[in-house]
Amino acid sequence: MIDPAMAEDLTISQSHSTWQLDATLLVFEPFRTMVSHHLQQRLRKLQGRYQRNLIKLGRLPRVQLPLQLQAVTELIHSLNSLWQDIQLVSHWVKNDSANEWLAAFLGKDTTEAAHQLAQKELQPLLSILLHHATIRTMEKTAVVVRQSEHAGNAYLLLAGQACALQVKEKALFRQRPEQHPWYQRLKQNLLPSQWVERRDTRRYDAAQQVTVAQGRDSYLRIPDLTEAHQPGTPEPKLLETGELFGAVAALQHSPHYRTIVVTSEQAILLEIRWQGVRQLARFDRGFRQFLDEQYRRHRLPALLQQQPILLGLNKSQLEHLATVAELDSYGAMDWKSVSDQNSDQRKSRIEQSEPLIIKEGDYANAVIFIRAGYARKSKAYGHSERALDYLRQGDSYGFQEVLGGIQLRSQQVSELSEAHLPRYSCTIRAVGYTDIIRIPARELEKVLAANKASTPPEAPQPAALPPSQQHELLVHEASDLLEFFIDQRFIYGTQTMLINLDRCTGCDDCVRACASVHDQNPRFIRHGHQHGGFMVANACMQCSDPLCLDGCPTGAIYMNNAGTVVINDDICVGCSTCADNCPFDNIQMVKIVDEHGKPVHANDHQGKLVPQLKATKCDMCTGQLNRPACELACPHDALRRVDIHQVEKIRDWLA
Amino acid sequence: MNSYVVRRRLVYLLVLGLLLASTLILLSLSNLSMPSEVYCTGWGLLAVMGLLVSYHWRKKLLFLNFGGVRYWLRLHILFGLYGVALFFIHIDFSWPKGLFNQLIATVFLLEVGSGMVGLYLSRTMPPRMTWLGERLLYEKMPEYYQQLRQQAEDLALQAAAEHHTDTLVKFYNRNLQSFLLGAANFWPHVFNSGQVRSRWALKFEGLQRYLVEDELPVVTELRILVFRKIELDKQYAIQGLLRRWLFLHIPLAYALFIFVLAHVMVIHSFSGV
Ligand code: SF4
Ligand code: SF4
Ligand code: SF4
Repeated sequence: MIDPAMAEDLTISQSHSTWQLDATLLVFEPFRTMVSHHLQQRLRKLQGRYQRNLIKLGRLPRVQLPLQLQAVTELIHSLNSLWQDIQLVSHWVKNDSANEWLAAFLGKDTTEAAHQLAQKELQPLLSILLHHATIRTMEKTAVVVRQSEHAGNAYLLLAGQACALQVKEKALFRQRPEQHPWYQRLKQNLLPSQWVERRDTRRYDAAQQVTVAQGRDSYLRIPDLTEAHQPGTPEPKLLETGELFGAVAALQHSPHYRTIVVTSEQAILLEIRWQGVRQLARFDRGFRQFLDEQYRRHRLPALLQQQPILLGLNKSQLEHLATVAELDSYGAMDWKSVSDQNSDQRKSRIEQSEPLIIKEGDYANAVIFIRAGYARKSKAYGHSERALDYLRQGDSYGFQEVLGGIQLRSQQVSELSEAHLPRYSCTIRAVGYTDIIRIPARELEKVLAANKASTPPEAPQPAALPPSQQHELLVHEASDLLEFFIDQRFIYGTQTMLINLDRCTGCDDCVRACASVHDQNPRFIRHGHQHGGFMVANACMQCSDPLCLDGCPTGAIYMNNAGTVVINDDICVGCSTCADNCPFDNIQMVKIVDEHGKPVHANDHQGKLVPQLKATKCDMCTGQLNRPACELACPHDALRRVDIHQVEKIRDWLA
Repeated sequence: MNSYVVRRRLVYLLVLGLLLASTLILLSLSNLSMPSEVYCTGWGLLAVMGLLVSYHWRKKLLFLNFGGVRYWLRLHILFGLYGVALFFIHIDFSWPKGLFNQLIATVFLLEVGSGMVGLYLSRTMPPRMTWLGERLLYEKMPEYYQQLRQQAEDLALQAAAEHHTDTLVKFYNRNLQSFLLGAANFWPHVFNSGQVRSRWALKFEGLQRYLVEDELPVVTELRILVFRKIELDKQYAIQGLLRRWLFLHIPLAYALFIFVLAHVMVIHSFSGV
């Protein structure tokens, strides 16, 4: 429960605020700018969404639409809740100064003059919180995070209790019928429904029992934890006030291990988006060290173990490498697609927006692993750099060079001149944000020397290190494609829809096929970014690091075991978080109708009756026998779902 | 043409040759009398037609695990060509007698012709469109036309207000208004004629004689709009053509199928077989 004093503080009142910084927050110019910037961004997004939906419904032409009144109300509401959040956090900072985590977080003794500290040093913190954090209040049995869900947020338990456990998939509504029976499919094909986005609303009954729908503050409940507990998994672990969870996973954007459920009557949580966690880690060294330590202990050995070159190492050796590894972060979260006119523009853009991680020709003194994000691998070419490949989470670079150096030293060449030093053959740059792990060559050498068996019998000679001439040629031809994919950030895609424009006749068989298996509404638009003879259509690419999963309040959108991002329609509350988060605009919010074609309505957070929205996107025809329907339906082999990593295969298909 | 396409076409020819050769060998080995041979090839032709029509149903029943439509199209083309050969064997390379038979033969040839044209179009038109800039959705084109028209109208009116002359407005009313109303010059664009562009270039040159220096930038902008409209027209024409040929091919196929069934029934009732 919120204590009454705190509740009083929550009301927006500039005159009664006990803390000066709060009251004058909006008077300060930087804050005003920040808030107005935030609002503008939100306005743009909302406007875009409304336009898209309206245009999709065919109601209005594609002209400037006035912003809906509803959106403005929503904005004011969000400003209010932001304001409340700031006040609550301020209050918490002031009152709970003995909190251990806070001490680590601030890296200082908070007992002295919290007020001044806040005035001076908490401004950046508040700015991060303003952008990336909210206070969530949840009732007993509410699910805070779900196991194997991509972590979009970290949580700090401000008040109340929760417990961490592994639950049955059924409790999270992840078990949908994987295959529709054949007669249903035949009916779907031969007698399509006359209604677009028709749903069997009876299906929602079970879900409604356990869903608390309050827009973005919605959540799922697990009423009976004993029943939901997955047998054979560790006993539930109790989490107390002050506990921070999900931060390491959020930093890496990797899955949560456990499901966390509120066990007290009410819990108050500070929800920090992963971007916020990253910024907090930058803002405060203590916090970063705390996260790094957690990562080193719990996740790094497992990542190292997966590396083929380190396969022979034993547990203690891996742990040693994990201890000596340096963790580093590069780049920023935000990105935008770009196109350059000339090499100068390109060079300066790359230099500015893609920080250097490794420079071609530098002494190869470490091996790097990508912990989170993406990196461009390129070589100097002409006046700029030419992309050879890109690295994603779990990929490494520098082994060959470092091993070459180790072998050279082991041969005890009498005179090791400058020319003999192993050098990196490529440049590595951060694309967007990139977290890396750097293992120093000398440590690797020590471990490999102690474990001779694990050294590959024939470590490559330095001379043979660069790729063979033939391979280089092949890659160079494909590099134009790669540059395009990297610049437009299509490298996220594992099932990107490519349309070969030299073959596509525009017959729309693909669109019809998709509609026929998806409630008469195609899940993609046969239009998109064009590059030479092909187009990347507006269809979900099933990203390897899907941003759309961030912040779904009920966990309705998730990545299934096949790596496909799917939406569980039953527990989707229509809050549009995923649609706003997808940087490629590949999620559409649609209005649904019931079995008789009547629009379905729901109550919004003010109790008003509004059309029930549901998020829809390409789900790779999950549940269909023959898939993906779009690719199968194309008579001219003009449409393929491709993994962007296989750029040479793509090039061959496009040729 | 890349080596993969060449190889694929060679395989096509080979399979087709084999099919034909085996049909001819079978026919000659079986030593049938003329009426029985016609009877056999007739049934064969009907089976081939059934196979050809099944392509359309394959597209409708996508949920069946029968392979991608692209493979079915290849089969459709292959059996289409085989069907033509079988047809000529069936009619013994001479134009049939009797009005009904002639009707069937005509529809058959029209069907084959429309198929060939469709195949040709779907292989040659997409690459042409690739270089016309952004590939637009056919259904959305009226919107683009409307946008272009609006922009051009605004430009002409703005120029008139700024320079107090009505030359541009008159030019707009007389030449541009109707041109920008919607798609135009369907056939010239289908045949890739450069005439339309040259004609407009001439018109603009003629117009420039009567304008003051300050109005020239507006003319340049108008000219860009017109050229964009021409590109749009080209895409509209090509995409339209790629859709329309099917309106001939599919109804003809079903008409043919019905005629052939009637033909079979007539033969059965009168031949006493
Ligand atoms: S919806 Fe968007 S972010 Fe999510 S997987 Fe698809 S393309 Fe990626
Ligand atoms: S894979 Fe299925 S859902 Fe996705 S676009 Fe293709 S047909 Fe639609
Ligand atoms: S089915 Fe193939 S040819 Fe037809 S519109 Fe789709 S991609 Fe183009």
